[in-house]
Parts: sequence; C-alpha cells; structure tokens
Amino acid sequence: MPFDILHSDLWTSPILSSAGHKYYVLFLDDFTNVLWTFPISRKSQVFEMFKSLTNLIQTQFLQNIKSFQCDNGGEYNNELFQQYCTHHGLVFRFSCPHTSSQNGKAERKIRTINNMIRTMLAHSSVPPSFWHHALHMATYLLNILPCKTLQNQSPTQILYHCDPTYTHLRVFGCLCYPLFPSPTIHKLQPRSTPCVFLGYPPNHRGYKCFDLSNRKLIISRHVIFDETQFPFTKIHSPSPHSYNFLDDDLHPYLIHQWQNQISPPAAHHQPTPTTTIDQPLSSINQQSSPLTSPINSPTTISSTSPPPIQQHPPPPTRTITTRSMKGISKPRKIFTLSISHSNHIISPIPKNHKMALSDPNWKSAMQSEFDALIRNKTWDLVPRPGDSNLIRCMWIFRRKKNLDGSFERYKARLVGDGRSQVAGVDCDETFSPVMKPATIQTVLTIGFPRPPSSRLCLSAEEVIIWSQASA
Amino acid sequence: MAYILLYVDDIILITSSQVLHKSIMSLLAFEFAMKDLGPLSYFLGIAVSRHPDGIFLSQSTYASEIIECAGMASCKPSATPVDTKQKLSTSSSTSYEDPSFYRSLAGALQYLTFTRPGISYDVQQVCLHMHAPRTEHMLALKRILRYVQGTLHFGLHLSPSPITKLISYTTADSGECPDTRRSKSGYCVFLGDNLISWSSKRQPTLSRSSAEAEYRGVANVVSESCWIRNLLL
Repeated sequence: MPFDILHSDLWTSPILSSAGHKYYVLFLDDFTNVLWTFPISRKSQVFEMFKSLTNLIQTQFLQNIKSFQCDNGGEYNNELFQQYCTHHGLVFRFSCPHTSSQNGKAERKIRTINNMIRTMLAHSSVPPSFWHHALHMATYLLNILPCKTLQNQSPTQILYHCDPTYTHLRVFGCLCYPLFPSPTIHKLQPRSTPCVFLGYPPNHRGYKCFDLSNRKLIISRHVIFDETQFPFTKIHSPSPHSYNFLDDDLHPYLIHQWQNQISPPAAHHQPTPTTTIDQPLSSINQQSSPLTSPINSPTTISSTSPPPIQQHPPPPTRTITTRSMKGISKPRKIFTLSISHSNHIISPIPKNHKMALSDPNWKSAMQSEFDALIRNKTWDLVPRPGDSNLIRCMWIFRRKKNLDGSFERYKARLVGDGRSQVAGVDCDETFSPVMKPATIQTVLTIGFPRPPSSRLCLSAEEVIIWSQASA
Repeated sequence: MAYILLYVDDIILITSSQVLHKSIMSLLAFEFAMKDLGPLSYFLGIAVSRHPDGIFLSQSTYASEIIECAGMASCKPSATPVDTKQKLSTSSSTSYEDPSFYRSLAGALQYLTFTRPGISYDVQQVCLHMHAPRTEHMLALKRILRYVQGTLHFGLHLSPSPITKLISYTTADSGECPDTRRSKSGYCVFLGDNLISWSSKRQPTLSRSSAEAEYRGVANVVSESCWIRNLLL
C-alpha cells in the first residue's frame, strides 16, 4: 500500500546553494516510488520537513505513514523523532551502524538525483550554487517518468491515477522570455527580457524564470522558450570539474586521478604517483621520490588514450568493485518519451478535438472529414425552431488497422452526440443498423462456387446516409 | 448474376462474369468516390482466406485483441468455454467493481460469435448479466476468453456445395434459468453443407411445459428460415 514504508536520507552538499541550503533531505515512498526532496540549511530542519510531509499525506491521501526507514544520523535518531513516532504509532527502521546498504533505496535514489542534477547543470552551464533548482526539477521529472519497477507506469500515475503530461516540459537552463504583467509597464516598454528557465514552481502552474539583469526570479505562465540557447554558457564557462561536488563519496585519490584525466596538461607538470599494473613493486620506490620519476614514464596520462588499468597507491582505504569490473552488464532499456510528428510514430488517440487539432495527423483526418461533409452538402442552415432541442456534435477518432494489425490510417468522424437527447422526450425509439451475420454467410455461400476472378471489395471514401426525421 | 453486400461503407461485389463486374464497378464509381481493394480478403474485421475446397472465415486477430484488452495475453487456455453444471444467477457473489469493462468485453465477444458458433451459448449467458455484472459472471467471461485463447485459429468454413436444401435444427431446455425460470432455445440453419445462421437465446416468455418451450423454439427457427428463404428467392 502507499505510505506503508517511507525511506529517507540526507545529503550534504559541499557547496552552499544561492538560497543558503547546505543539505537536502529525501523522502521516498516504497510502494509508489513517489519522491519528495527538500533543500534545507540546518540538519534540525529534517524533523520539520518530516512533520510537514506527514501532514500533507494525512490531508491529501487520508493515510498515515506506517514505518520509516533511515540511517543512524543524528538528524533522525533524536528525541524529537522518537517522541513523534511513539505518539503516532510509527515504526522506526534504522539501518545498522556502517551498513548503508540497508537504506539502499534512499541512497541509490540520491545517486540518481545527483546524476540528474550534475547533467542538468553541466549541460546548461548553470552555476553550481543553483543546485536546489535542479534538485526540484530532478524530483519533478523522476515523479512523472515511467519506472521499470512499476511496470512502466510513473509514480504519480500510481498515486493519483491519472496520466502525467509531458507537453509542458522544457530543457533546464535554457533561454526563455516571460511576458511581463501589463500593469508594471507603460505600453511602449519591452514586454519581456531574456531569462533562464529554472524549473516549475511547486505551487503555481507556470515556469520559474531567472532574470539575468537584476538576478530575480520571475514566475510566469506565458513564456516563450528557446531550448537551443543556454545563456549561462555566455556569461561564464565553468571548468569541467566544477560539478564534481555531486559525485559519490569516492576516495579523494580517485577524484584526483579523474581530474588529471580531464585536464592532461596538469598531468604533465605534476607527475602523478601512478604506475601500471606490471610494475607493482616499484611503485613504492616511485612514491618515495615522486619528483625524480621520469615525466615521460608509461604512467603519463594522455587524454586520447588513457591507460586501461591504473593501480591505486599502496594503501587504499577501500576498494570499490563495480559491476563493470566484474564484467556484469545488463541491457539498458531506453524509453522514447519525445513526441514526434514523423510517420514512424503513430499519434495517440486524442481525448478531445482540441488535442486532435494540435496533432497534424489528426488534423488532416478531421479536415478530410469536414471537406467530405461540405462537398456532399450535408447541412442546410436553418433558424432554430423555438421549442426544439439541439443535438450537439462530437468527434470520434479512430486508428484504422490492416489485417496484420499494422497501422493503416487516421480516421475522424463527426457524429451527433446521443447524450444531448433524452429518451421519451426527444426520441422514442432508438436503433442502430446492425448487419445480420446470416446475410453475409448466405451471400458468400452462394457467391463462392462461382469463378474466383470476380470478387472485389470496394470501400467508399465517404458514406451518405439519408434519413428523414419526423417532427 | 451479381450480388452486392453493403455494410455502411464496405461493399462486397460478387458477379458471375468479369464483364458484368467491370460494368457494375464503373457504374458505382461514376456515382460515388470509391476505392477498389482487390480480391476479398478482409471484411468487417473478418479475415477471408481461400482454399481449394472453399473459403475460411477467421477472426483470430480480433480474438487476440480482445484477450489482450482483458489483460490476459499470457493466460493458460482452457479446454471448454463453460462449466457444465453451474448456471449463472443474477444474485450470486459480490458485484463486479468495473461494470463498463465487463460490458465492453462481453460486447466484444458477441461480435466474435460471428465466426465462432461454438461459443454463442456461453457468450449469450454472459451477456444476460450486462446490466449488473457480478464477480462470478466475470469469472465465466474469463473462462470463455481462456477457451478462445486455446482455439484462436478456429473459424467458419464455407465449402462450395449444391444449394438444394435449407435444413434447420432446433432444441430447447425447460425452464433452466435460475432467476426467471424461462427456457432457452437454440437453432442452426444449414444451406447445403454450410452453416449460415445460428442462435442461442433465452425465450422472452415463460413456458409451462417443455413442449411449449420446444414449440417456441420451433417458431423462432421457422421465422429465421423464412427470412433466409426470402433472401434466396
């Protein structure tokens, strides 16, 4: 059930966010995978956030959290939390000391989020101190993206039972132009200014835009985006490792190695105490006199061909065995989430005519139906008789399929809406023309002993049904 | 001689000679915008395949779509479509939580009986409870789907045979419906060697004897036979 188990963890950022956040706390529902993250400035705020979240769940979903999984950090294992839990009958599940794997779900989610934040910041060159904006964006996206463990449903789909929409999603950090509200300007002033898109505000239906000229956040509904431009790339170009703060807690030496790999010139001026695997004994000697080691030794790292295997310095505090080291690999499923108008991807069946009009495939189907109606002079325009009921019309959208189930074409039909009639008042008898199977069987039986060359199936493009309604 | 079978915007044209066929085609094309789809292979969702000894009508694509729609794409097939002992009653078990889903599946199965006379009794039983489906009815419906899963390739075979006789068979039970005590009657009509019409229905009236029920069944099949006779005239 949702909210039976809630996972939580805290992540400490080495960089203060522009709003002064030093940490973020994460809450993850075990059943639905719905995620909440809150950037905070003090660890003591974890409890406040937890309380506000339980209140939110209580009010929105009429549910109580049954158990809470976290590590032994002081932000969780304290008097306040314990009092709250005993008072509300909540079960605490601490992981054992130094056994972070018992809190694996939350820990892994933090890694996922940090990967996303790093990608977003690096792609758009947004300064690292804006990580809390990227955090909100990552949380938002993770909640609406399909999840393999949920049979390709998204967490919000499970929780709210409605499909998420992806049409409003924009690229993080891209150039955007929010419309200024009219009272603030006189009519000849510019109506917008270049801003940077920083995500979706939690309590508004709109976009967060960062005004570069006065460094203010603007929340606006009417925004024009240019998803190919990233204004921060022009203002400053961050060095490749300015986003390293988001990495997992690797051994500092490994980080050092990695930085050297990225910037090869540094490796030349500063001989690194590395050695290849075939000279493990000499490595200690080299370490003792790093300055005398030859610069052009085989250990020198070049950016084009990094040596395949690198040996750690002798006292590694901890060795990390990754799956790729052991040769374990799983095929990755990649989902296509983009909406494409090419012929290869079949447009989804629209819910209403407005959605259909925004899709060129359906729009052309509607146009051909409309043209056919006009061409056949289907309508006569008459004044409405005063005492009569109007029957509204509605669109029916269907995808025609071939015999083998493959897509044939889009079909749109304009029909009368039966719901605008009341049986007994507007109409007294309803019937639909249904064929009698016996007819087809009979005709085929009679027809088929005849020479086989003369059977053809025709399909009229448009149907004309003549009917006369009695007043 | 020519036969035209018209269903809304789908037409089957059967003619005795190529010349006649061409002239009818050009006459129709003159009046309406039309597309020639070539020799008959697919009509109203029914695949038509030709053999040396006749034609075969099959709805296997449609049947597998229904099964997929029910979320039973990997279900185990069942050997029979219905339990021989149990009769479905209107007031058994609890009401099913998604009536519209039940109705859509039952309606879909109803169309499947077009080429599957074998399941028409079972589908009719399931359709009797469309207005207030119960969990038990849903189980019966799923049983039919599981049977269909195992017999996807079934269909209706029509063989060229001399059309000399119209033979009808009918039978009825006596008051087997547990709720209304009405009788069910069924019939099938053969034209030559080909089954062309069949039905299994609960009678709309209450019969006081099995003979009365049988008579009503006979009346039904006679009216159907008359209708087909009119068609053949």
